[in-house]
Order: sequence, then structure tokens, then C-alpha cells
Amino acid sequence: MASVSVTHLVLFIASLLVAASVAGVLTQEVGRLSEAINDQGLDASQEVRTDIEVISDGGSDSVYNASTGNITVYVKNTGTQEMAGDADDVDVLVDGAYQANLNVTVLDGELWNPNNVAEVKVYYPALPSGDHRVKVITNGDEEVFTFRT
Amino acid sequence: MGFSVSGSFAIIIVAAFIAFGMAYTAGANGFERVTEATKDAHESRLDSQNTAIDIVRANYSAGQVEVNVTNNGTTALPVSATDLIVNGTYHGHDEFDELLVDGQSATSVWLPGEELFVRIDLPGLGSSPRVKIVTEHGVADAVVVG
Repeated sequence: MASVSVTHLVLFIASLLVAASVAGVLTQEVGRLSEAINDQGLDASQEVRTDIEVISDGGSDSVYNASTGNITVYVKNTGTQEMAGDADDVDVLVDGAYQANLNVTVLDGELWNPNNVAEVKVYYPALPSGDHRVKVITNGDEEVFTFRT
Repeated sequence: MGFSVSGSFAIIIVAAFIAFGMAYTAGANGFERVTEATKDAHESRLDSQNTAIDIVRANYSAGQVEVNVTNNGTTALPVSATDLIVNGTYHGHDEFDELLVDGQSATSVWLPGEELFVRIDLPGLGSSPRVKIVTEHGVADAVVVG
């Protein structure tokens, strides 16, 4: 009779251990999933809040400086998302080609806050004369600026 | 045997409740963030559509660029978000030597129907510089000073 009780006790403890393990794994995995959902929500909201506008004057002939080989465009943060405003956050394509040699400076503040303007300088020596397209991409938002040299 | 099943079931039910609570909170927070951002973006887009400016006078003499711009839209524009581009070079509102809204300097808001006056000293620009004024939302107007 005592052996039956001991057996029951062992089975009881074993079942509790198995249930606790299952519960632990369940809460841990759902916790990880929740963090991922949280991060995804934050990223999505930041992308929605990001809006930029190239405000350079395409009618002026100072977008491309042939002597320094620099294309300069001014980009205004017209969204509601604060951004760092450094070259790591901004991608630039000139006539469809990705440019790695660029410099980004916020002209009227420390950070690229809403309504602040960033100067994007792309080093592109010997740009041939004709029509050109500059595409600025940051945080999922892209703007195209067309100018002529 | 009965206790084992009940105890195990109770543990798993409690864990399921905790897991559901975590997942629901994360989902609801994410959804709320995106909804709020979408609402702000729509409001910003609407403000942008309702914004219109028009350069009514631009003059360049004695090394000074003077521009008068009317807010022809229906939104109030922050003066601090107004930028000037002269001959392709950016000049923020901090660089303006004079900035008046309907003759007043002690205001930071440029209301519909009001006229903004900007003066900036930029000697040596040549006879007919090109002036572009940009407001909040990137709405702009440009003119060649003739």
C-alpha cells in the first residue's frame, strides 16, 4: 500500500516538473516574441513618422561644384521623427548608383529634429554634363531630386 | 493521479495566462504606436496640403536681399521653420538680419493672410540672384530677383 503512495508521489512530482518546464519554455518564448513585436511596432511607427523633403533649388547652378567634385543637397526633416542626421542613417543614389563617399551635417541643430535641415554632400568627381537624379533615403523614406549640370 | 493532472494543468493555465498577458500588451502597444504615428502623418499631410506661400516682392540692393512672402494657405506656420536659399546656398532663420511678420518682430507664428518680411545681408551676389523660401512641410516658392 505504501509503495502505491510513493509511486503516486513520484508521478505527482514528475508531472509537476514537466508542467513547470513546459510553462517556463512557454513564457520564455512568448516573452521573446513580445519583445520582437514591441521592436517591430517601434520600427514601424518610426518609419511612418519619418518624412523628408529635398529643398535644394534645382534652378540654381550651385548643386554641383565642379572644382570640389561635390554634389550638395539640402534635406529638411518634414516628419515628426527625430533622427541622428549622420551619414550612417542616410543612403544616397546618384543616377541610380549607390554612393558611399558622403558627408551629412545638420545645419541648424545638434540632431536632425523636425524642421531642421541637413546638408548632404556627395563626392562625385567629374560628373558629366546633363540631367541627374539624386535619391536620398533615410529610415524607409525616399526623396528624388533632379538637377542639371 | 488526479492531483497530478490538476496540478500540472493549473501550472500550465497560469503560464498561459502570463504568456497571453505579455503577448497582448506587446501587440496592443505596437498597434497603438503605429496608429498614433499614422494619425500624426495624416495630420501633417493635411497641413501640408493646406499650406501655400507666395513671394510678393523680392529685392536685392546694397548687398541686402529682401523678400516679402504672403501666407496664402489656411495653416499657421512657425517662423522658426522658415528657411531661405539664395543662389542655391542655404540660410536658416537664425542667419536672417531682420524677420518681421506683418511688421512685428515679437512673434513666432506666421498666420494665414499675414506677410513675412525677411532681410539678409549677402554682399556680392551679382545682379539677379535666385531666391527660394521654404516653410514647414517643405512648401516653397522661388523667384529670380530682377
